Amino acid sequence: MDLGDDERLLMPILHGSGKLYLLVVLMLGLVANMVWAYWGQLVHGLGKTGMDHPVSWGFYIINFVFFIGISHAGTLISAILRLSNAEWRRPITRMAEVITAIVLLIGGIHPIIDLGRPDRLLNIFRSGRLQSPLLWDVTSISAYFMASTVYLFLPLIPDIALLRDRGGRLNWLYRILSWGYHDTPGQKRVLERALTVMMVIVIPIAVSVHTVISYIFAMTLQPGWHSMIFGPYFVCGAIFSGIAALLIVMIAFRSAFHLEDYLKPIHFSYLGKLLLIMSLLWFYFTFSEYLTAVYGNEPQEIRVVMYKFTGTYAPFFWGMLFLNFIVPVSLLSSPRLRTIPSVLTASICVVIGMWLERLIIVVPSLANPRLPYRTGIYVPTYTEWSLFAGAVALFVLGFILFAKLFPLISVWEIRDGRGEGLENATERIKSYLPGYEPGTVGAPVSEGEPGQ
Amino acid sequence: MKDKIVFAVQLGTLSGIWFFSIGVVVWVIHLVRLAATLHDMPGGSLGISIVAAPIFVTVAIVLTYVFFGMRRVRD
Repeated sequence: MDLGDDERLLMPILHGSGKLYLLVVLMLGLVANMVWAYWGQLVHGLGKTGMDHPVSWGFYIINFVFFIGISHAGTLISAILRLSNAEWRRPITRMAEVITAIVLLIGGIHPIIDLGRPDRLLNIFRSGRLQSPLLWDVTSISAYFMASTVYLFLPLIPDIALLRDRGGRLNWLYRILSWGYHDTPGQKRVLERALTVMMVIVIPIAVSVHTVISYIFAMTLQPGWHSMIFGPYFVCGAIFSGIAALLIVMIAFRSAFHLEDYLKPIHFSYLGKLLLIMSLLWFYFTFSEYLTAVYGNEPQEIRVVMYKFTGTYAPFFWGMLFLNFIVPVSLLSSPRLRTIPSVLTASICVVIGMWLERLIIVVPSLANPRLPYRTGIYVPTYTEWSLFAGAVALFVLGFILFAKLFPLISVWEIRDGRGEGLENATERIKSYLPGYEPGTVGAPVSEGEPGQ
Repeated sequence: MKDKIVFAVQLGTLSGIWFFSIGVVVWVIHLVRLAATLHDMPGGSLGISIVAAPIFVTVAIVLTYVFFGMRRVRD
């Protein structure tokens, strides 16, 4: 099938580049270092990390919360955009969905890394307590991973069929994965129905996942954690960091494969606005969270708050506020300033800022326990830094592998957008206007007798 | 690759997804029973399982619908 201009979308699959392979080698080096560091931890135990009494959670749990948060970029945003028929979604959704699948996998293994004895994971299957928030995490993350992988796979089928029809070395793989799709109207209908069901399922699952992650903290009576707004606060932060990660990936991919014609400034402007809204919302939650703590003036709570405001963690706390609020609001408020470079700057700041937020949540509460212990300190070791770098490298490698096998921008959705999508959008806009006669798409129901 | 082999691999993948989903349900039932035996808040466990288990089964049903639905209307 001749794709015309859209042939460009298959470029990452058909052609490689020296720079890309160099990046792969670099990332493989980081992964090898991660495996070596983890082996050291397996042999010598968690003593190889900076975790100690009373700070018994460190980088691994911070990264777990951070990566799962990033995963909200994909399926949730994609599902909302699809459900709301936002036509500008077409070049974005696939990338967003891929981020979710890869990052969930990476984030999900972090609690296992955090176990000094990973074999004890089997105890969850044998005698886990289902009423424990930790088990809620296991089930909700598994459900989210399964649902988002299916949600990535279903809209991928027409593109896999397209690759299958073009032949090539990997034809056997595309034949298996295309599930006998031949672009008939009936098959399209089946796929659309299934996608609609998945969209509706995926949104509550995505929201529940991060709410449940917040419960690991909020269900304890630890100062700084036992908060009622932690659920929505975590969901807000997850969507916030997710959008920022999506923007970074989009800009990198656009620049690497010259997809300026597909990923246009308008896409970055819309997502930039969304990032700005999330920044304001995140600030509102942060303000509420700390205001109630300070106003309550409970001594243990104040000890944790002061540790963040003026103590050891003050640079991280104020850095977080600067990166998550001051920078995005300054760069994205004005339409004139909302250019691609400033969107990229804001996104990078938000990703770093949101990682700091996870650090700020996890460590200070543990460092200042209710029991009469001295204030603890947490300094990550080489092992933890290696595993962190390796996790980021795994994400980059996963993304590159996906891009080498499948189109990162949905080809069939772009083609549909040019035809059916354009007609539907025009009809829909007409249907919003007064005096519109019922037509083919989005026709208003007449105000008559039921069933008329 | 022969069509029959392709179909067998596809069916194998779908069976794997069903195996996983049913495995999760069996695991959840086991934990609820364990909670009941130990008098360890079985009601809470049951509540969580009622929410969690159907999600896996629903996703597997959707995939099965797509797999067989697309074959049924191929022509």
